[in-house]
Amino acid sequence: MNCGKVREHLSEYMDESLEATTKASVEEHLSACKDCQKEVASLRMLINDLDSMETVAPPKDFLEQLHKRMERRSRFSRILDTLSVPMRVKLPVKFAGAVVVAILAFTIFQVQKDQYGKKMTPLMQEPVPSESSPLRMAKSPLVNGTQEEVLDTETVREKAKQQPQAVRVAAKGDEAKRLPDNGAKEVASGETMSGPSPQEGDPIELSQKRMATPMQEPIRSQISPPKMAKAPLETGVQGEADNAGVVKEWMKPISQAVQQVAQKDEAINLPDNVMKKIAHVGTKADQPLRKGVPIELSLVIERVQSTQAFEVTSAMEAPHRAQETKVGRTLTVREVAPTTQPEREKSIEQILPRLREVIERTGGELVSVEYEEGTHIPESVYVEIPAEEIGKFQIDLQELGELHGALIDPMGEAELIMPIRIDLLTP
Amino acid sequence: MNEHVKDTGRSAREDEILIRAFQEGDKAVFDELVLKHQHKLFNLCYRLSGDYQEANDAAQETFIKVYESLKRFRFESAFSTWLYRIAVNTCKNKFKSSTYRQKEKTVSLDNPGLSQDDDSALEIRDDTYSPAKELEKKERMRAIEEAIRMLPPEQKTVVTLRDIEGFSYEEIVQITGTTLGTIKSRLARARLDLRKRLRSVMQDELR
Repeated sequence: MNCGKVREHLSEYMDESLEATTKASVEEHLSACKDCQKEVASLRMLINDLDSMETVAPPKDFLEQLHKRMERRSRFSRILDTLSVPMRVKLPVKFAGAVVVAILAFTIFQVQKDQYGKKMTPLMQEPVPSESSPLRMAKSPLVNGTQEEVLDTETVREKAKQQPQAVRVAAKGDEAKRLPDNGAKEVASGETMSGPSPQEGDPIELSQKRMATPMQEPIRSQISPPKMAKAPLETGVQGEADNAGVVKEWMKPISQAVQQVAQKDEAINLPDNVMKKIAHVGTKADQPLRKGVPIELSLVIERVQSTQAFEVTSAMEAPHRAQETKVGRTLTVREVAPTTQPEREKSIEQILPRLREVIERTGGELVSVEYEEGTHIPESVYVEIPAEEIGKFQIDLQELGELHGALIDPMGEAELIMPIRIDLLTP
Repeated sequence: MNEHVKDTGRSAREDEILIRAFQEGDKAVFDELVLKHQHKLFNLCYRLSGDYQEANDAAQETFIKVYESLKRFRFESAFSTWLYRIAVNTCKNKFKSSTYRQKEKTVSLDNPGLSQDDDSALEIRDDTYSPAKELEKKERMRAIEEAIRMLPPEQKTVVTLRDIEGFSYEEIVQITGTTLGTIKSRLARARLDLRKRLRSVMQDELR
């Protein structure tokens, strides 16, 4: 063996991980070659130095700092959690968002009519992150977005009990006037949504049933503003120019389905053409999966409106608005003066919990979050998603914002866990 | 060597007991896990990121992720392997950030935590106090730190895990998710790079 070859093997030789015959050859060469002996010595010294490097100690209050960080985080996600009450509805995720937004928007309008006499604003006027609450309503229990789940009133009741009950929205706006009257009568959501949890029918179930009939009209009126249509339904609807028109088309089967569900507690089947469209989005392939190479995506999140900033407080913190409740807390979302925080920071920060949830639904893992230097603004996230869930994952992502990057073909790589890096951007 | 193996085994068993307690509902046990692993983990993060504050952020972020996923932990690998895997990925993503790359950190003797000895800064500057050997050793250490810092991320990770933290090849395979062959070749390159850099640094100092 010559010097060049020997030196290639030296590192492994030092670790005693060479295979026997190779090791013998190396040693034979070393016994005669002074230069290579020097190399070995120098390598040994380096490894010793590395081994004896001083360890750098963490700060003495490391654990305390950790607790504080965790506390901050859990407080924030608890607030978001309590804004949503999960509901098991058998719909593909793609549509569930729109449906629930409609339901909640409807609810919000109703609150206007309740005895508190507060002025309301339609949910649509709120920044996108607030939509996370209605979106989460449908999404959290929706594990696979498959059609096999059934509306389970037991589950709904149970879940409703576990979580604080209500969201009361108080904000200014005159969009509320657009609500058709028939819708207004039906939903006693002002009361049921915001009151304490009744023992029997839980709020969500109630409002679902009551809203069943007038569903169609309110949905149309809520959804028509383009911004509204854009957020949940932009995904994969290729080549359709008229958002409002598209929405109406999509929404009909949904509204019918929700009625079915509410009335019969039965499984919903969406029409085939609808399902095909979703499937098409999910498997469009621009780039095949390659083992070990992270896919890079960017998610463009809609900007928070700075004209109406909202602050979410718990009843404990805003006693003058507190509602006495027997179960859980009442949360108030109230309008405050526009904050000085940049829109961007808010949009991106609030996307994280939703993103987490999307990831969990696939059975994947949020491995890390990378923050911009010196701030708490997440810049990108690094996730691992089982390959077979990639299609659904992308669909879900598209509900959080505009997705850029290779659309992944999950076919044929079922056993893999794919690493993906998602950069969070604002337009 | 045997002692090390025994220790690792015992340590893994301790971890398992703690984690099972956590999964049964004893959340307070998490603190014990942190206290047990924080030093080695912090050190790893420091070596990988080269900056004390970044290391602190990365280490904390790692433990938070652990906390969030711990109830789903299935013991398919040792806890420490999983822990370090998360840490390595967390630090790797910090590298990728353009904002991080822009701030090129240079070794500073005043870097908090770099040395246990608070007077180190003073000692280096004043020849009369420290014996020549001591100085030389400190200089060499500083040079090594700098050289490690300059390594490309993947080499830096492997040499840190192997030569500084003392993980086995098998553990490194699990932590990084790369193959044994890749690890061996990265390690060889890293060690060669380090020796080259150190030689040139030492030569500069001799002038």
